[in-house]
Order: sequence, then structure tokens, then C-alpha cells
Amino acid sequence: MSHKKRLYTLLIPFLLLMLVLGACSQPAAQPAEEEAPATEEVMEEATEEVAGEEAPAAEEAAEEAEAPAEEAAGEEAVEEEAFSVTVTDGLGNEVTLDARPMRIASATLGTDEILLDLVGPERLIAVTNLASDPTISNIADRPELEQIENQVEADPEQIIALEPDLVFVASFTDPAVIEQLQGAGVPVFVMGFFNSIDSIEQNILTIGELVGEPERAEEIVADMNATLDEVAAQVAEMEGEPPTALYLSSGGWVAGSATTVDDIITRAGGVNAAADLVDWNQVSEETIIEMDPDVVILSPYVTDEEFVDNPVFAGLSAVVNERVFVANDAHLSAVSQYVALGVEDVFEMLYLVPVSE
Amino acid sequence: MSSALATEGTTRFLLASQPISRRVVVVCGVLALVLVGVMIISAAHGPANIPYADVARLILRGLGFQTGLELPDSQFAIVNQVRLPRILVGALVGAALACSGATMQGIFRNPLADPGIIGVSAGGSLGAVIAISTGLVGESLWMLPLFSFVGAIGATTLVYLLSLVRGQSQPATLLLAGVALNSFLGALISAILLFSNRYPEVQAILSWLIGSLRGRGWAYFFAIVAPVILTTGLLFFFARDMNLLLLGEESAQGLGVNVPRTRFALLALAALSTGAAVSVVGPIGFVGLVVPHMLRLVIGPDYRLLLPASALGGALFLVTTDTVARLILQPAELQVGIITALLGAPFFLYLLYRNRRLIRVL
Repeated sequence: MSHKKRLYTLLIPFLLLMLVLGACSQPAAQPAEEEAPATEEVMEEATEEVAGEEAPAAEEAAEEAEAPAEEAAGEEAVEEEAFSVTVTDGLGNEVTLDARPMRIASATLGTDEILLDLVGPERLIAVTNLASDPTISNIADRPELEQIENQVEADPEQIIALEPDLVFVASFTDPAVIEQLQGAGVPVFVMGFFNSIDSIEQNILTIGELVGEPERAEEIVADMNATLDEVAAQVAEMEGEPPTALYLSSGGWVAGSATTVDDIITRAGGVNAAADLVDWNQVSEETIIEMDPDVVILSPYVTDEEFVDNPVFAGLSAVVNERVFVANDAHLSAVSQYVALGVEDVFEMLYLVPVSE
Repeated sequence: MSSALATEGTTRFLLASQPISRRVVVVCGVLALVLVGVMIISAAHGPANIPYADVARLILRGLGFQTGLELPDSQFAIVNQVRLPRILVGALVGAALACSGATMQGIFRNPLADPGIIGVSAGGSLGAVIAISTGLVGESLWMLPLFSFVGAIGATTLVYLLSLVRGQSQPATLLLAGVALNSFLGALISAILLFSNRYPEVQAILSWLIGSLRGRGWAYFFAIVAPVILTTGLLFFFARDMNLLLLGEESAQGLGVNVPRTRFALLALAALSTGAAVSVVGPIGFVGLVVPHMLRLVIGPDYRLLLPASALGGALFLVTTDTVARLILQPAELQVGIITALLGAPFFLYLLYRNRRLIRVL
């Protein structure tokens, strides 16, 4: 008896696994059922593609995928015939499209923000689940977001199942994921690393070209430049030494030179107090005391104990003069057109006057 | 699991022919002197360049003396509010970890035992990770240490209860329960990390898991000074019992040691001490494992000498490595947890190689 009992206990892990599988498959089954036929076709084609030539097969897949966006596709059918574009992505790889992308999946927040303004919700079949988080996303309150059916992570299975004709991933996306997406015949554009506003603008233009909206991309960049020019004009009117500013994140991480934050501070008319350091660096408290910046910009994750209520920093000029601000990180850490709003934010922190429109 | 660090004769060790009381005085005296020296060097160096004489004046001013010289307030804050408490917290944590490590190696008669083996570090880490990922860290300075300490003691208690056989805890079961709970808690931590969408939060968690003394001010020092000194001090009283435990459970019992009760007391003290240390700096690896072994190779396995020497040696090790962590890339800094392993591991391997004949188990 007791031997039998012991044997049965070995079955417990399997029973648990069955339970978990049973529980999981129910919610997951619904979307899968809706899309079941389409998915199967695409999977078949994806296998064929490996054997045959890629380009025609991809076109076929794209044509079939047009069903949900039929109207838009119909109008631009003529244009589509001639559509062929090759751009270089952030990793230096060429991305070629032979048809205007109509089912675009964005798997990184930066392109969520860029694409929503560039192509609108009609051609976006997925954005990241970060897009609706107002602390880091600039599009969290946009009503169009609800028209986009899927909120994804950089998960190849999830993305391939959506039958995208173009996928955007981040520079830090697992190369194995990119490999799998490309293996399934999906063109992948990898975002680069950005250390200046210029590089962000250049990237928007590149993406505009890739998705067939170069004019719209130029409009977006022109809007950014208009904002930046307004700030620059106001900075030029300011008198005296430009104030020094330090961007401080939780754990003592500061933005040195060659970061977008450095570019933001400079364009807002300030001097980055940590410009001697290159890139992001963790510094000790005494380094911050030594820098003694006029203005401290805190990431929202810095706790009061860490800075505002920390006795160590009580003598800092920025603390004494009450020039410590909490940043809107959605603006300051943006790699999209919204980074221009970060320049406005910082200008207002540095000079305590609003940006005139 | 034979007495792994049993050695061939004790004559090779430092001052082996001297009486134990004398050895304690000499060895601890030397270690204490070196420790004070390193503390002074550490207090005088950093990204901010302040001469030794000014550092001395600033410390005196901090103690309430008039020095007659006007030095900037920023320098006063750097020496008295940044460097000094950080050095002292480092010393306390190093002492706690090394002493607990030596104790664990004695209880389990296993050279691989470290303070983390019974789940203290993993429990403390999970507590801290929960506090960070739920955003409770923002509520008060004490949330993180509190969660971490509760996690550390909770995990250890669980491991201890799981290992009870007829009311007594068996080392082998304790060890296995500890290993299993460690990987379970590790999995929970990984899951929380992976589900966290917020990059700064992930960075805060990772940085805590490596262990850091950055930003540890006086508040942290006063929080752990009493528990660490009390628990470490109490461990010293068990030095003779730990020597006897090294002979094996039955021999120790025969020589008058109440083995189950002693084991419980030692586990509890080591867990409290480590829990307090981990809760303010994170699970700094390597100190509890390596410092006692380094010392054993030089001064031998006698716990009457090994425990106080471990306390001082652990303090010395952590203050030194943290000074390196602060200075090596200045004005940027590394986390001390990286340096302890980066410096400690090669040095330990060197000692092992030099003494490979001395250690029978290898």
C-alpha cells in the first residue's frame, strides 16, 4: 500500500501540469480559433517560402493579409504595384519591401509612438503592451490605441500568428527572436541606439521611407524642429551663464555626454553637469556633491529618501534653491518625436519660464 | 562530508606553538591595525580630492571639536555623511557575513557552506525584490530592509522546520531543504524580474541583487550596529562547542555538547546576523565563503581564534573591496558585489594552489 501511495505522489507534478495547461488553454483558445484558418495558410506558405524564392511568396502572403484592410489597399493598388524600398536598419542590415506594408507590428515602444502618427491605427496590427502605460508612453491616452487589436511583447509566436508584413523590434531584442521572425519570412526592422535628437529624427525619416510615408515623416520631423527652434530662440534671449543641470536616476545613475538626455539639456540652454562622463554612469553621492549642479532633474523612480530627504544632499545648490524637478520620463526617455517635448520640459526647469507657443 | 578542512598537523599555522590567548591577541591585534589603516585610506580617497589633514579635521569637526579651520560644507558632507557611514556599514556587514560563514561551515562540516546556504540571502532578496517591484520602497527608507529581513528570517525558519526529524534538525536534510528553497526563491525572483516592464525597476532589483554599499548613510549604520555586534559577539561564546562539533556529532555529544540545542542556537544567530547584513546591502557574495577559508589556511581551524579573526578579516575584506569599487573607475563607481568576487576569487584560488597539500579534501 505505502509503496503504491509513494508511486502516486510522483504523479502529482503531472496532474499539476495538466491543470495548468487546462486553465491556460481556455482564454488563449479564443483568439486562436478566430484566426485559425488564416494562420494555417500562412504557416503553409511560410514553409514553402524556405524552399522557393522569398519575394513572390511574401507578396502573396501580403495580398492575402490585406483582407482586413481591404479599402485602404484597394485605393492604393496602383501605387502598390510600383512600391519597392530598401533601407538600412539600426543594426546596419538592409530591409527590403516589395509591397507597401499594410499589417505592421511594432514590438518596441519607440516605434509604437512613431508609427501611430506615421501610419495611424489602420495599418498597425500590434503595438507593445507598454504603449498604454502613461509613465513611459506618450500615446497612452490616444483613443486610436483602442483600434489596434493586439498588444504584444517581442514574442515570435505571438507576432507571427498576426501575419504581419513588417515588424519593428528594439536594438535590445533577443537576436534569436529576430532570427525566428526572419525565418518565418517576415521583414524585420531593428531600431538603433540613439544618443542625440538628430539620430532620432534621422530614424523617423528612415521609417517613413520604409512604410511608404516619407512626406508624413518629414512633417513630423518639421514639427519637432519647430518646437526645438522655439526653445532655441528663447534660449538665445537669456542672459548670464547657462545653468548646469544633472539628470539623476535611481541608484545614482547619471546621464553623461553622448546620451539623448545630454542633448536635451544642451538644446534647452543648459550645461550637463555630468558631461565629463560618457554615456550612463553610476556615481557616488560625493561625485554629485562635487558637481553641485544648479538644477537637478530626477527620474520619477528616485525615492524621496534617496534624494530629496537625504541629508547628504541637503547642502546642494539645487536643493537649497529649490530647483529639484521630477522629470516626465515619457518625454525625456522617448526615442520618438516626443523627445522634443523633453527639451521644452527641461527649458522650463532651467529658466523657470514657460515656452511661448 | 568528512571534516573537509582537517589538516595534517597544526604546526604549519601562524604562531602554532603559542598558547591560544596569545595567538588571539596577536592575530586580532594585527588585523585590527590593518583594518583601521584601510579605513583611514578609504575615508581619505574618493572622486572628491580632499587632503588627509583636512579629512582628519573634518572628522574631528564631526565629533564636535573645533579645528579653527574653515572647510567647505560640501567637504564636511562628503567625509562625514557619505564616506564614514559607508565604511562603517561595510565593516559591520563584512564582519557579520564572515563570522556567519565560518559558523555555517562548522555546523555543516562542509567547506562549501556559506551564510546563504539555509536560505537567508535568497529569502532576503525575495523580500527586497517584492518591496521594489510593488513600489513600497518609495513609502519609507525602512521598507526595503524590513521586507528583506522578514524574508531572510522567514526563509531560514521554513528551511529549519522542513528539516526537522522527530523534533531534531539533521544537517543533511537542512542542506537539501536549503538548496531546494534557494532555487525556488531564485525562480520567484527571476519571474518578478521578467514580468517587470519598467526598466529602472529592473535595474534597481539587479543592482540590489549584486550588493552595494552606495548611499548607506548613518541611518543604516545605526539600524544594524546593535544586531550585528550582539549576534557576532554571542557566536564567540560557542567557539569551543564548534571546535568539538568539528570532531563529529557523536564525539561532540560525548564530550558534553548538547548538539541539537547548540546547532539551533548557532543557526539562529548566524541567520539573524546575516539577515541584518543582507537587509541593508543586498546579498554580497563571497565574503562568508572565502574569508573564513583564507584565514583557516593561515591561522588554522581553531574556532576560538577563527571567529574573532573572521569578524575582523571580513570587515577588512569588505572595506577594502568597497574602496576599490569606489575608486577604480572614478568618478563612476562599481558595485562592491562585483569586486568581492573579482578580487576575492583569484586571491582565494592562489591560496588554494599554494596550500593544496594542506587541504586533504582537494
